[in-house]
Amino acid sequence: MTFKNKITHIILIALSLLFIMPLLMIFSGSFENQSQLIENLEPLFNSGNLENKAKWHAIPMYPTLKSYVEILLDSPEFFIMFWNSCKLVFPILMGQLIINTPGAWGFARYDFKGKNALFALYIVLMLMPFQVTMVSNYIVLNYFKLLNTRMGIILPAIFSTLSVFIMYRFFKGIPNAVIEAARMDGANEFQIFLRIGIPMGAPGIASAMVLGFLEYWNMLEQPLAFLEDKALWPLSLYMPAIRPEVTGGYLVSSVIILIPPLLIFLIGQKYLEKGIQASGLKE
Amino acid sequence: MQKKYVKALISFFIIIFLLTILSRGADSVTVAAVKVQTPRRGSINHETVIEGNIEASGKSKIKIQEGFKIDTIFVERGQSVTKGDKLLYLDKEEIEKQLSKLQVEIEILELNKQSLELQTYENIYEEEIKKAQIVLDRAVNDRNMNIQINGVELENDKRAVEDAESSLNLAVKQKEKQDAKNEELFKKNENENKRLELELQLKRNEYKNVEELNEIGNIVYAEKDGIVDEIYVKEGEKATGAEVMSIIDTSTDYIFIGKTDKEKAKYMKAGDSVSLKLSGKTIPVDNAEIKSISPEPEDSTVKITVILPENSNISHGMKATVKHIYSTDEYPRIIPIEALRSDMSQYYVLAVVEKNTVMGKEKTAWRINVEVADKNDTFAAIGFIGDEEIIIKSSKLILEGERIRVEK
Repeated sequence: MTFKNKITHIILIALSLLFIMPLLMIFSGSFENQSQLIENLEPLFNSGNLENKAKWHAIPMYPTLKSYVEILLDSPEFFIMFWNSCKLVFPILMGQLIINTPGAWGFARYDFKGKNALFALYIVLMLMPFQVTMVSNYIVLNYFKLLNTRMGIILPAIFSTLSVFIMYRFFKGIPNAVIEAARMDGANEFQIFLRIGIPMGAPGIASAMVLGFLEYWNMLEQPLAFLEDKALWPLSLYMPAIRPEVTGGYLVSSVIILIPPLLIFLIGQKYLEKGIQASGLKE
Repeated sequence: MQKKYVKALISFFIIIFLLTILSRGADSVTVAAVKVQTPRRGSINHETVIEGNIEASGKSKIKIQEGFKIDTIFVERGQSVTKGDKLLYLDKEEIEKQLSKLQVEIEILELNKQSLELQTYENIYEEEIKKAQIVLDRAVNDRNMNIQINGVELENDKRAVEDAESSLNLAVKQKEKQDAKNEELFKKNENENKRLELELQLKRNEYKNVEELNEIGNIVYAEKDGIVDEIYVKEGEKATGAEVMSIIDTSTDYIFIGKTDKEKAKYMKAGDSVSLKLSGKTIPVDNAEIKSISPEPEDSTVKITVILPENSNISHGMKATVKHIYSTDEYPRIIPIEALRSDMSQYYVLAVVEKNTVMGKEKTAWRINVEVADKNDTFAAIGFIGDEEIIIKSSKLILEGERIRVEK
């Protein structure tokens, strides 16, 4: 390893440490004693105290599992919200798999009238932030009487344009020769989609699913805007406001909330890489 | 590697699922189970129980003169006696001594009385006046004669008349003074005489009683039918002049006498009917009536007297409890006393309110300050409240805002 490489390594390690710092802080803080946390974070909550700054110990001063016990054994509402999140995210992903995969295949493999205009509309919608479409969403959901229901969140999310766009890129990357070969072997259009499209576009589908999971697991605006009934709220709304006396619980919940996306990411990592490789395939 | 992550994810969901069940279980244990009730119309009963004793209203007191020695006591406490039964035998010697002593005292008193009656009330100044009058008359005559002879009043005559007049005036004044003194003495003696007369009468009566006692063989007999209530002396002891024995008349009425706090007695009034339970008896006497409620001067208690119906099979000295129930007018809202809570000096109740939370529709305890119009050991009449469901019982201590589980 050359000297230059060593320097680069050191800089990268330093930078990655910087990026991973918030995660480490959450993790170490979740084992900290609640009263110690209040003392450490007091300047954050006391706006009048400008002289002192909040402190954070890399290793907890008084390590305890009390916050974990409180969240895992004494907070049924945490689990209700966890399962609420699952009830939203998994139907959305399932719906996207069923609706968006053929959609993306259609855009990628067939030519039809108005295809470009429709695709352009898709991209425009994809670029729009939620806040722009919120009011129109609200009106439509109200019309269909879907406000304050899970379907009010699930249905708009199923027809998300982002996953269509991602899968479109992957399906587009499948060589025409492969499709033609299948056709010559007598496969019909559905068989081509099922036998050629899906396996070859799997990395793209997986990428869309992983990205979709991360997006919907963390969604805040949609449930806040469309779900009035707190019993339907997902886990992302577990910490709407941080109060000093419950910081321990919040840190623990952050750690637990983090686990599924992390595992999903690790599971989907290979597909993401393959996807990136696949996206490099050009005729 | 990927499989490992899939396994980890599946394990994570399984653990979360188990913890969900566990936390739900823990939650159901920690959430207080409560029983609720809406306030209802009703009156408040104030029950007062007073302990006391049964006493006979009519008692004969047997008194023996001071100094007499009790030789024998023929009866025992609780024994029934009929008129003429022997009660006590007194020592003969003491009585005879007493008789002779009384005789002497009577004689002395009689002598004193006689000497008072013989006293006279003379006034020596009456004679003095007569003498002065004669001197004056003579001086006036002398002066008149000299005026006729000489034609003028002589200086000596004039002075002699004046002297005689002043002597007479002095004598009159002294007589008046003596009269007043005599009158005072007379009145005094008269009073003394009356006093002696009364004393004499007392002594004679005393003598008569002792003599009668002596005549009947120094025995004290029962004057009425009754039951021996109390004997205050023992054989061989000397009487102090106070009561030696009390006897309850057979025909007497019985009363209950008890004491209680003024505060407890505030719902009682004379004429109220009460039920009385005698110690050791199971059937209460229902138609007893409060005769009087009088405050005791030495403390903050009151004395309750209850008249008992006839034929109640009651005897003097029995222990008993009287139960009095006062029922108020109907209040619009009464709640069980367990539902009433207090914080410093403020009374409040915890009502059930439904809240929309993450856990769904949850019931929580909600504080309502109330005013207590009246209460007893079981119910409280309250104001400032509607038809809310009030927590009357809970499986554990609950505070305002806490989640609760309502049990039917």
